[in-house]
Amino acid sequence: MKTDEDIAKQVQSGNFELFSILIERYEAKMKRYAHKFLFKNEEAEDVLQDIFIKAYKNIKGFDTKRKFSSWLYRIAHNELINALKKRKKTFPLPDLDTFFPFHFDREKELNRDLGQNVGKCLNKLKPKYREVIILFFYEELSYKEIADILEIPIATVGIRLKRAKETIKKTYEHH
Amino acid sequence: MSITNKIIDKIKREDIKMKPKLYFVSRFLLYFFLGLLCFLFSLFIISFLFFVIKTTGIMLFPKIGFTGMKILFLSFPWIIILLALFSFLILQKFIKKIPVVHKKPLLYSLLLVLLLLLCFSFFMSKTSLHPRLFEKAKMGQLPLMGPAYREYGLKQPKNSCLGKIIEWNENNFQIETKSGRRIIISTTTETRLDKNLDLYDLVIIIGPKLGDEIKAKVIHRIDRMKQIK
Repeated sequence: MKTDEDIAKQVQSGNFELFSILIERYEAKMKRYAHKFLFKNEEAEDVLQDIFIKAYKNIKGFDTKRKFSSWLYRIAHNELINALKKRKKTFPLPDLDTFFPFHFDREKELNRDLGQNVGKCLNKLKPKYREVIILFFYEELSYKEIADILEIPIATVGIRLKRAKETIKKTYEHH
Repeated sequence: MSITNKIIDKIKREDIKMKPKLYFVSRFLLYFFLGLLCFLFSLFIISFLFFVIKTTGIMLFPKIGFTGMKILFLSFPWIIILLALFSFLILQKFIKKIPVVHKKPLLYSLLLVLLLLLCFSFFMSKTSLHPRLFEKAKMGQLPLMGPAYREYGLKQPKNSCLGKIIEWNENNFQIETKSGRRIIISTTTETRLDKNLDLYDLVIIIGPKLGDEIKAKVIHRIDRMKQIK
């Protein structure tokens, strides 16, 4: 079976019909990501299409030595954030999680004990925390992959997960 | 109709097209040169700030106490500071686009760039670049930055002045500022002045200024026989 990167290379050289393989491989994943992140089904469907259209338009900017999935998730992240921005006009504030250095002990935080309760509380989380939860618990991506997609330090992924889990725990206990 | 078919149809109808490789290469080059330009501009502004501070000698004012600190605060080139901050803010937008920057907290990258900027600016302020541009500005031969050099290089704090005593008479003397301007200082019996003032002493004069003359109320010696360099 050809890798995503091989197919992307062929699409880059003009074999556009192979792009359908990439769509089929990632449609379910992107759909889940968009639905969990946006909650609104119709909006998520539109964004899903935009993600693949954007991927096709920009495919010549993809470095085939890198992972296609991380590149596609990055596009999805940007599209989802744009969709949220359209929903509510907010002033972009600097993200202190990525600004200051944090110490994070990964081993302690790798437990997935909250897994079953996560889905019920996702909408209570801020988008930046919700996103790491989706990528970690649902998409089962590694810290490094999440860090590459969101363009943040690995320690920040850990901190966001920790904070997200604390919020989920509090919300769950409250109910 | 599945999403795959919808997209492939759009591609076939040429509703969506791939951006050419050249687009990505030129975008990279554009970011690179804009970032470099922004870095050089920040470098120039910060070194200009160093030059202004050195030329006006305003950092010496706090030596005379609270009044001096007040003068320093009021005459500090805040606009240049704001301009330097603004250019640094734009620069950090470009810094964020460098892939490796995301791997570490942003604070580290910004501190590193700031440190580089300060070091380079400091060395740049030691070169003859700004003095030469200042001379050109004084002769009206410097477009764009000329007014800024004249405004900040020749500026002296309100009702105070820093200079070297170059001529001494009974009731008045003359000082020369770093920018080469000569100012007559007239004294009265009410003028408070340090004892044993001498020729070539570096002094701060406080008193109402009228053109090229100051009626001195207070005269402080900052340094004896020292050149303002």
